[in-house]
Amino acid sequence: MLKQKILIIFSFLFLTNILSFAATIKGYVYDKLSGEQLVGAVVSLEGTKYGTVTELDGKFIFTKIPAGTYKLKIVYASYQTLEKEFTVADTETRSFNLQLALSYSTLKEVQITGKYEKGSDEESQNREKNGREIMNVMSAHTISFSPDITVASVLQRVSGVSIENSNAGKQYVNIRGMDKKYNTTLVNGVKIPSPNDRDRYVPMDIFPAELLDRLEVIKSLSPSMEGDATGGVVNMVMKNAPDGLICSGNIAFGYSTIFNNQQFLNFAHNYQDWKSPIEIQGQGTYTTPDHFPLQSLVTYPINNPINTNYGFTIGNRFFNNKLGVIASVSNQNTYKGYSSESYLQSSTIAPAPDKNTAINQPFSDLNYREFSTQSQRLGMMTKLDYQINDNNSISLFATYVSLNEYRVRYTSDSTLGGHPLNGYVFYNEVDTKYETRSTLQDIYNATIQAKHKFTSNFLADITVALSEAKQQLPDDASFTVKQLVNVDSTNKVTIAPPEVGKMSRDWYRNTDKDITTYLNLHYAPGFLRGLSMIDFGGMYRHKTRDDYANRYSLSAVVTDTAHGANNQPYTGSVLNNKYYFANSLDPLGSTNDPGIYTYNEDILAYYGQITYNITSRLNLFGGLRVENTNSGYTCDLPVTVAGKSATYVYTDFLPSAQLKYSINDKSDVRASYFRSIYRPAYGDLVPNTQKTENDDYDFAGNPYLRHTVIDNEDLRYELFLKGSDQLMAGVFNKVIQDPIEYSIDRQSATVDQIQPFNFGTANNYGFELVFRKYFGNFGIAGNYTFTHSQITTPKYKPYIGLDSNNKNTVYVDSPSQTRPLNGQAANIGNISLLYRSPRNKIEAQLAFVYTGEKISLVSPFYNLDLWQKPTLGLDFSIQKQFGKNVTLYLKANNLLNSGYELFIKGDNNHYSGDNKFRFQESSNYVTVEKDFYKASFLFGLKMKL
Amino acid sequence: MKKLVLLLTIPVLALTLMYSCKKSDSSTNVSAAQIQLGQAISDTAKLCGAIKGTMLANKTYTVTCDVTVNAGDTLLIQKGVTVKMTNSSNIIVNGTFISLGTKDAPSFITDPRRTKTTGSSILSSDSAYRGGWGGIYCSATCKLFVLKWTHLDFGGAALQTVPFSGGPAVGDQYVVYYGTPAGDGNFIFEDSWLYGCPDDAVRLYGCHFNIMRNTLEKFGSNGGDGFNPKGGNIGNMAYNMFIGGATNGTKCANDNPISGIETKVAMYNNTYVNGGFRNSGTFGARAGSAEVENQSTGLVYNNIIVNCLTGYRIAGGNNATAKVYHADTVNSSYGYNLMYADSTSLANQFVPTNIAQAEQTIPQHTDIPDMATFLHYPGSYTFGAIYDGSSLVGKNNPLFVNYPLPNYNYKTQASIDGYDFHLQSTSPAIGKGTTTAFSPIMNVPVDPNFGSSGITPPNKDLGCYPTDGTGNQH
Repeated sequence: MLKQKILIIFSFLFLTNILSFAATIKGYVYDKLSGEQLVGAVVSLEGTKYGTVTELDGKFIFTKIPAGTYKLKIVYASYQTLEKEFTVADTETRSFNLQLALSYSTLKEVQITGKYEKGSDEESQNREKNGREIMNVMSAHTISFSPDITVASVLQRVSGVSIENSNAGKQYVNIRGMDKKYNTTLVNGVKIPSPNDRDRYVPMDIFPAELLDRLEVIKSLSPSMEGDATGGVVNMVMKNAPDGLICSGNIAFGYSTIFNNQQFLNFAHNYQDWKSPIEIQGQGTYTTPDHFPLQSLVTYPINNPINTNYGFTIGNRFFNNKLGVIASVSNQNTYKGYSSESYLQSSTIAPAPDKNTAINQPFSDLNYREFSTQSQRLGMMTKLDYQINDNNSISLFATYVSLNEYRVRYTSDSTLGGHPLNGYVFYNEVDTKYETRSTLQDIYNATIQAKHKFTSNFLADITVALSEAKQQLPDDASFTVKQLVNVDSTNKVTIAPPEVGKMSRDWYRNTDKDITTYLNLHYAPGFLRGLSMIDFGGMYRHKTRDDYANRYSLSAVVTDTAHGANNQPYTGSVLNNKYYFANSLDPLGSTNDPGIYTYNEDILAYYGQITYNITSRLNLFGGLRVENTNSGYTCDLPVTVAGKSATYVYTDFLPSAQLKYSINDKSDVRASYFRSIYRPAYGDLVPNTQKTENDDYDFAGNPYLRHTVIDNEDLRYELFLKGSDQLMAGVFNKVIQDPIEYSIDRQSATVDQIQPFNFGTANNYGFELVFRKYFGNFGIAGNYTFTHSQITTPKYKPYIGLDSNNKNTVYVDSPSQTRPLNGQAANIGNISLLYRSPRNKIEAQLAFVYTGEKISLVSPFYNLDLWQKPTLGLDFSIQKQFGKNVTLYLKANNLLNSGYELFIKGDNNHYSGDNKFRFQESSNYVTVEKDFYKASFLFGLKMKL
Repeated sequence: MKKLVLLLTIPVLALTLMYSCKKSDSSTNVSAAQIQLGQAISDTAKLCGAIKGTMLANKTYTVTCDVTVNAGDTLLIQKGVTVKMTNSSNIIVNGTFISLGTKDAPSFITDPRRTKTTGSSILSSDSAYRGGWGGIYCSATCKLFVLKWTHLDFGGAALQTVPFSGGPAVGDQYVVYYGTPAGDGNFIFEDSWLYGCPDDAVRLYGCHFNIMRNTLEKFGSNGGDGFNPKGGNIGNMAYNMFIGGATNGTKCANDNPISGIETKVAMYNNTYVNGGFRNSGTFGARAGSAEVENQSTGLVYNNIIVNCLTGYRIAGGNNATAKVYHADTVNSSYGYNLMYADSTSLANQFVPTNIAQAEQTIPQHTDIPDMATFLHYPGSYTFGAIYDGSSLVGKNNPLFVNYPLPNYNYKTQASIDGYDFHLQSTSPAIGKGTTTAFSPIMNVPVDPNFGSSGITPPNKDLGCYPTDGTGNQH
């Protein structure tokens, strides 16, 4: 630190005083692996007084250097020091592009070289440019600098990636405009299963950022990669063993200002039983209400909750550096809260008064909710690598992450009536609901990998990986307190004393286990000039998934019969509530729920691909992958009902070709084609009718779903300017065959239920723009994707017409409606402004994220789709380091106060008049839900140990 | 061909019946021929799984797990049969269901664990509301359901799994579920009894029906209606006696509409007593006697409504809030109903207010009391307006033979017990009905075994027990 300051001062003095020399030495410093610019690296000419530090774009410059021979030395924490000798003449300008390797070097890669390969390309600007795939990389260094503590938050800084902001938080990635379900998640190159009970996608907020060595986002598929990532792949590469002993740690504290406005509520989750009564007492036993302790429903406030975050890493290398070991642990405890107001959509829709008039979405309740969530993240990883000899190495990785969320949800539910009062439609009942829920998710992965070099140009690696993802919601409980509201003829409102309502106690859990073997062979042939690499190999995965649910519903015992009332007055404490089972079979719970399923999936895949430099400017990378899927489920439906079980066997041929033409050193054109697939979500197959949480519609899976096949075409132009400055523009087209979307089947059911169906072929096309530009300590980076997406599905519209006797009757029309795919926004963009002053050790970032309007829920009814309003998020973070070990940070989220908002397009008959609703914004659409995140400030202190 | 014959039979029989009604002194009762279909079902075996054929007269059968009548098969229950449903079993019908009790030898489908109780009925302590056995669940291939002179007691145990796809969900707790989405089923529910159930007693989709001369007690725990037809149902609900229902006795709503078939129900000559006091579901404060909603047509005439939470209700159309939307107010018509209340809060809802739901009930001059005059309709009255009904309390006592009014136990007296709801000769309900304002619906086959026993036309007296003895025979 001091040394650096002296150097700066000296160089400053030197440069201002001596003006007669004219040589200039400049350059950029990058991370060797990720290609990211390194900011704040100390650059000096050894033995002289010249010294500086690199700027935000990794740039350094010395001017007016006397001619002579120098040794350039670059020193940067946690990287290997680099020295380079050179001679410079008077008036000469010398440029360097220097790459520093992490001192945490990975296991010495067993390298192979083709005969015609020229060796490592010194001039390479970065991995992104030269990668065969289209890829973005973020290094551990960048991650550690950012105030983000989960991988989800880090990802939103990667170009072309946006994070879906839902009321569950920032969890899922949208890559190049493609919805979460079209993307996959890897840990150390191995696909990991999802803890979700229905879907395949993995929540990204479960992973602590601290465990990562780097984060890769791969946006084009090659044959060696699994074929179900249409948008892209997120690969989390965990830390590697260091060259020598390292021992580091950090501790951080933070506070969120949302709790200045809202109370944080906690509950005693130690009263929650892991197992439901029927599992403890035995199948078929009728349980009693006293098996449901009420203590877990007691909520209590925590004042000024402090977020904590600590981590520790230890690693070393033994036996002549042959064995490397690293272990890392991270623990985070955070508190978050928000509130929301929403109108509950009713599934009972009145027919239009005639065929040409629109139908309206009615609403039954106004819900005001407050959420308090405590999140405990634990992440652990270890890696061992052993270099047996020059030709053989073996490594072992293990990762465990868990996210335990303890949530209290308070809902005030007003049942809307038909009476206007004080300017708004009034309500006749207010139900207050308290819900306490623990969502416990964990994922572990253990991978063993061996590499063997047969000859200097033939290498094989084999990997065996075990993964498991699990989710548990033990004793998810809620209880309701009801109050009837009355209005008399003078509009005087009386609210009846509170009565105890229902109590629900639910158990859910699901596990997903994978065992996967990968074999890859890499051959650098010498027989054809330009054919630099042939890769081939295969993969086999056996997946088993199971699911368990058991729900109990209890009702209030009538304790007040004095006036013939049939109710139980609420005393103000849930501990005094008395419950019973209102139906004789309720004590059994729902353990026979036909929605409970087991699922298995075997995937056998093999591929071959080549890297062929057709000319020095034209490069072809491509091949074919074949994926054979053999999957099926069994659910608890009775055998007498169709769809108790199903098997699905299919084979996909997935060709891929990526052509890259280098116009010159700085620019190239890439054209790519690949075919990808999407396998139906597990829960979309199981045909049982389920009530949805909001009583909107019943939901039933569809066992007849086919998987989706997507043909992807891309054309892009890339321009690499000095340093990391970059411009990329591209167009794309995706032909999506058999997309899975939700609709309603009215032909075979007496209840309307939403079901997934395959709908013909959809088309997504658009363009993409990515840029990055640095000016000294300032930088600007942004990306924008426009996607035109279109699908036509049948909708349902009841209307009143005249029958043959000229009498009113109801007809049901099935008009087709064209719309974007569910969840597909036309416009997605983000812009970040960066500032880094290595000298002052200040770093700041201002980030705008824009997501255009998109469909949040497809309505079965014509023109009643639920849309999510465009969001413009503005986040700001700044941190300053004091001394070597202490950093103060401030993170401001959502400075523009942009909320999550849902709406239905069309005339808003709630904008004025007797049916006026709250928080309406326009007569042209109905605002259905508004979540108020408000601006929140998180400030804290980070200490390196 | 069979259909054609049936279609021809209907008007002939209807005319015969209409004619016979004129001779009200007739009390001839000729026994019908007893039929048997298929093999006799053994009364010694425990019944479980597929079932078809005939349960023989006066025998007792025990069902130990869900029984299923397959498509094409028929289950016939002769008179005087007792079916003991154990283990909360269900009867799943993909074929035809026929139960032919008689006045002298009714049949019973019941849960042997349960016994009926009298007097004050408290929701959480009366087992009538908990569901003992399950229900009769009829799928789209069940084109005919006939239930006559049969007791359905203590049904409604919650479904543990689905009986068939495209219909009921786990947790549903109906006693009878009948759904033919093609709109071609025939549902006959006559001269029968239903005692105790946790939700809707009977739920219908897409059928022609005749629901007549039945008695329902203690139906619905903290919600649920007596007869609750949804989309595409057309038929009569007449001469039924309802007491102690959680919500309505009769209701109609055209939810899940079938294109071109609008639900239409003639609700006439019913007696509703002590209804609507246990509905504390999310959408609470619904009606408590008869309700017409969701673009369905109701013909509500000649009913007696005593100490119910609300009078009959025609849902209004703000088409904006709540689960309920407007009835078919063009085709619906009503009047000639007597309403009686022992408290102001009930009298305040003779014509329901819009606090809970938008309203479009037009106050009628022909109703007793004359609500059109009372509410100044037309004139200053707006639909759903809140009014002070205290002056109507205790007025127009219908003078039941043995149910003295006032009776302030209306929230808890949910069964007939020893009471008699026939009319005293001085009752103001006598002679106040209409026989011409509307026509009953004649769309089901009339047949002693495979159809309706007879569609009783509207009577000049109100309620289910007209003084000419043509109504409810219980």
